[in-house]
Amino acid sequence: MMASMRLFFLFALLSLTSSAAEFSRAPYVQFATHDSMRLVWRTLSAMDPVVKVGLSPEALTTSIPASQIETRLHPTQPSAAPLFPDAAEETRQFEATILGLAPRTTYYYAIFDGEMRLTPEDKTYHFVTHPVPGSDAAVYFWVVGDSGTGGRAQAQVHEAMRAHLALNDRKLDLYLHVGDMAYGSGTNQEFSERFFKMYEPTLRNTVCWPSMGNHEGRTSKGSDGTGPYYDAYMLPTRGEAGGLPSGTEAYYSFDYGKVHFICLDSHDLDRRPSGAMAQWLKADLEKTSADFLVAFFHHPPYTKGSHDSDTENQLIEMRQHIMPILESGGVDIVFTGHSHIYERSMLIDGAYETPTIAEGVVLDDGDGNPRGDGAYLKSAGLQPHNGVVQVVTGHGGTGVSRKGISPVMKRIIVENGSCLISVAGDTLHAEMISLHGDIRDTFAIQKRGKIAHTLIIDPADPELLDPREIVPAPPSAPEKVISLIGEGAKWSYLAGEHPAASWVKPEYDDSAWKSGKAGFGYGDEDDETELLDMRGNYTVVYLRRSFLAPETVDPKKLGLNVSYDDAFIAYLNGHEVLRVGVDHEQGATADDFTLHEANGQFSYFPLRGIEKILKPGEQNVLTIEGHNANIDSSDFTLHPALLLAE
Amino acid sequence: MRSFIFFLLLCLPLCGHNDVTEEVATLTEAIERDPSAELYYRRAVEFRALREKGHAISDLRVSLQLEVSPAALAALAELLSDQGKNEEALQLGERLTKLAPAPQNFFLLAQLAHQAGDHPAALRHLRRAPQQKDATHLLHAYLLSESGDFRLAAGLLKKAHQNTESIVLRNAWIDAAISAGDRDGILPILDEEIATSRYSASHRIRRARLLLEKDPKRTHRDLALSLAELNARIKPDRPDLTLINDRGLALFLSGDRKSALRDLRLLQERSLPASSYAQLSRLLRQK
Repeated sequence: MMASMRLFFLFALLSLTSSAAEFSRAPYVQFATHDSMRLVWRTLSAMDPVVKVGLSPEALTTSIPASQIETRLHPTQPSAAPLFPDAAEETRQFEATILGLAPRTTYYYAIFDGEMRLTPEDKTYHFVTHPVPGSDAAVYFWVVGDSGTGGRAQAQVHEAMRAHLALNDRKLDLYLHVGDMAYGSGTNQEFSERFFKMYEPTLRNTVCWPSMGNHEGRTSKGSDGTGPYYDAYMLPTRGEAGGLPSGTEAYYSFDYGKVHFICLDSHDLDRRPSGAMAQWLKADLEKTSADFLVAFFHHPPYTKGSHDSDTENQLIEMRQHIMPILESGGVDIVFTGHSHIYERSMLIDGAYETPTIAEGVVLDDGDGNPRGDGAYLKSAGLQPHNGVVQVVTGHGGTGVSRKGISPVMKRIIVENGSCLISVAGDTLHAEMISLHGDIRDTFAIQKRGKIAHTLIIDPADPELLDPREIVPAPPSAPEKVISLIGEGAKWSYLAGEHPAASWVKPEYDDSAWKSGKAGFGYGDEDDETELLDMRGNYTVVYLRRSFLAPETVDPKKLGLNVSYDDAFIAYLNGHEVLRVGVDHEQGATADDFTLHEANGQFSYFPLRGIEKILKPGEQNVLTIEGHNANIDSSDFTLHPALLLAE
Repeated sequence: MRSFIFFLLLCLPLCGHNDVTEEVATLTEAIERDPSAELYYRRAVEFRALREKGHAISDLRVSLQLEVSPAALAALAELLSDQGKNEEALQLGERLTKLAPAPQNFFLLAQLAHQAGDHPAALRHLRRAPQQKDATHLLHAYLLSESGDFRLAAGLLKKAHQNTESIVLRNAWIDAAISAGDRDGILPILDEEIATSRYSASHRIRRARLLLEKDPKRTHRDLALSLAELNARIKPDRPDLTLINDRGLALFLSGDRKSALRDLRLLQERSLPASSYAQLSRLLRQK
C-alpha cells in the first residue's frame, strides 16, 4: 500500500513537473521608474502567471495582483493587444507591472506557473528601481549597437563587458541599445534568438532602453508602433519615467537622477524641424533641468565606417535637422550605430554642413582622457552650444569596416566592442571596451563653472586604430610542441550534407560519417582526402575527432595549426572556441566570409578561454566546420592539427 | 493577406547589412540576373537613401510595370509630390487607396492633396486616416486653421491630447485656442510651464499672444525675456530653425515686423513645410 502511495505521489509530481510552462523568452525587466518596474516573459503554452517580489531572495513576500499581469496573444487568439503575426501561434507574452516600489531599491523576484516556480532560486533575478528624477545619484550604463547577429563576436562583446564588471565589482544601472539588435529583419524569432537569448543574464536584471534600427524597421513601424520591436519593449509615452509625454514609443525620454536620456527614431519618422518628433524634442529639451543630457538613436550624423554620413539621407537629416535642436538644448553626448565601427569625436559644435568638415566646429581637439590631454570641459548644467561628443558604437557584434575618416573624429577603432559610461557628480566618464576585454578608448566630460570655448582653427587629425591592419598574420606555431592531433591525422568527416545541430557535442554519434586523413579539399594539390564532388555542389565540410588531453595540460598552451581556404569554425566539447573568416552564424546558415588562400601554409591560432571547457586527463572532442566562400571556387583546403606548446 | 506577404518579402534580408552603395551594386547584379518588381523596389529604396531621387523614381516605375504593389505606389507618390509633380502623385495616391484602402494610405493621400493645395480633398481623406495618430490630428488641425476654423482645430487637438497626452498636441491645442480667442484654462497652464521650464521662451510667447491687449506690461516683459533667451541659444550662422520660428513670433509681437519677416524668409529658404511656420506666416499676413 505504502509503495503504491509513493508511486502515486511520484507520478503526480512528475505530471505536475511536465505540465509546467517553459519560457520561450526568459524574463526580462522593462520600463523602470523610481516607483515601478515591469517584468516580461513568453511561453508557448498556457500558464497561470504569478509574480512574487521581495526585498531579499528568501522573502518574496508580495504577490503581484493578477489584474496587473497582462497576457498578449497571437492575433488568431483573443487578447486586448495582440502580438505581431510572425510570432508562433502558441506564443503568450506576459507583462507584469509592479507598482508602489521604493526608489533606488533592490527587489528580488520569481515567476510561478500557479504553484510551480519557473525561475530558479537565484539572486540574479532582481531589479533596482531608478532614483527619484532630479536626485543626486551616479549612473553606470552600457551602450551597444548593431549587435544582433547571434554570432561569436556578439557573445564575446557581451562576455567582455560582464567580465569587466565582475573584475571591477560594478553593476549596470541600465543598458542603451542604439538599434540593429535582431538581424536581418527584427522578426520575433530573430529577437528571441539574437537578442533575448544572447543577453539573457544581463536582461533579467538590467533594463534595456532601445532605439529602433533599420533592420528592426523591416518588420516594425514607428508611425503606428507595431511590430516585433514594439512587442518586445515597454517604453514611456506619457512621461512616466521623467521627460515630457511623446504619445508614442518611437521616441521618448527618461531621467536617471540628474541625467536626462532622449531616444529618437531616426529610421522611419519625419526628421524635419516641423515634424512631431522634432517638436517634441524641442519641448522636452526646454523642460528638463538635468545636469547631463544623453541622446541616442540609430543613424549617425558623422561616420565614415560601413556607412557614409555625407551621402546617406537619414544620416544627413539627423545632422542637419536634429543636431541643431539637440545642441541648442545643451546635449553632452550622442550615441548612434548603423555604421559598423567605433568612431568617437572631439568636442564639437555646429557641424551641420555636408560634407562634414572639421574647420570651425571643433571646440577641443584633445583626446578627452583625464590621464592624457585632460577631460573635455563644459559649463555646469545644460548650456546651449557648449560642445558635444559623438560616439558611433555600431561595433557590437557584426563585421566591422571603414571606408574613410570622418574629420571630426578623435578616435576611430575598427574592432568589435561596446561602451561603458558612468556619470557621477560633475563628470561623465566613458570607456570603449573591445571584444577581448581591452579598454581601447577613454574620455571624460567635466562640467564645472562657466566655460567659454574658442574654436580650434586647425584641429588635430583623427587617430585610427585598425587591429586588422596592425595585427600581423597569425603567428606560426611555437617551436617545441606536442601534437595532440597531428598533421595528416584521421578524422571522421561529413561532406555534401549538413548534420543535426548536436554534431558538435561529444556524445554525437558520427559512426555513419566517412573517415579520412587530413587535409581535406580539392583543386590545389595539397589534399590527402580529395573532395572531388565539392565544387559546384556544396561549400561546407564537417570534421570530428577525439583526443586525450594530458592530466597536467595547461589550457593556455593549446593551439590549432591550420592550413585553410577559406574559413572555419572550431568547437571543443560542443563549445565554439575559434572562428576564422566567418562573420555570422554557422553550418548551413554561415554567412559573410573572408577569402583566404592556403598556399600550403599553416597558421597558428592559440585557443583562448577554454579553461572551463577542456577536460584534462579525459577524452575531448574537437569538431571543425570548414567553409568555402564560393560554391564554384577553384579550390578548398582544411587541414587542422591540435598542438600543445611545451 | 497578399499585401502582407509582399510586405514580408520586402523584409527579406536580401543583401545583409552592407553600405548603401554596395547594396545598390548587389541589387543591380541581382536585377541583371533575374529582374523582378521586388528587386527594383528595393533598389529604389536604396537610391532614395542616397538622395538619388531620379533613379529611385525610374526604378519604382519599372517595379510598378512588373507588379503593382502598395509599397511602390506609396513611395513613388511621395517622391513625385516632393518634386512638385502633384497631379501624378495624387493619381497614384488614389490608385493606392483603391488597391489597399488602409487608414495609413488615406493619410498619405491627404498629405498629397494638402501638398497639391487641395485642402478640402485633404480634409475629406483625413476622415479615413488613422484616428489614433498624432500626425493625423496635427495635419487636420493645420488645415482647419488655414481655413480660419481655429475653434474646431482647438477642439480636435484638445480631444486628441486627452487620448495620448502628447506634449506636441497639447502645445498645438494651446496655439489654436489662443488663435480662436478661447482663453479658458490656458493661462494657468502657461504660468505653470513658465515657472517650471528651463527655457520658457515658447510659453512666454504664447502668454504674450494671450495677454497682448489685456496686460501690455507683462507682455512686453515676456517678449523681452524670450528674445534674450532665444538669441543666447541661436547660433547665428547655423541656427536651430525651431527657435527661428519662435524668434520671428516674438519679434512680430514686439512690433519688429521687418526682423520677423527676415526670420520667416529664412525658414522659407530652408524649404521647411509651410505648416512649421504657419502661425508666423498668418500673423505677418495680417495688417
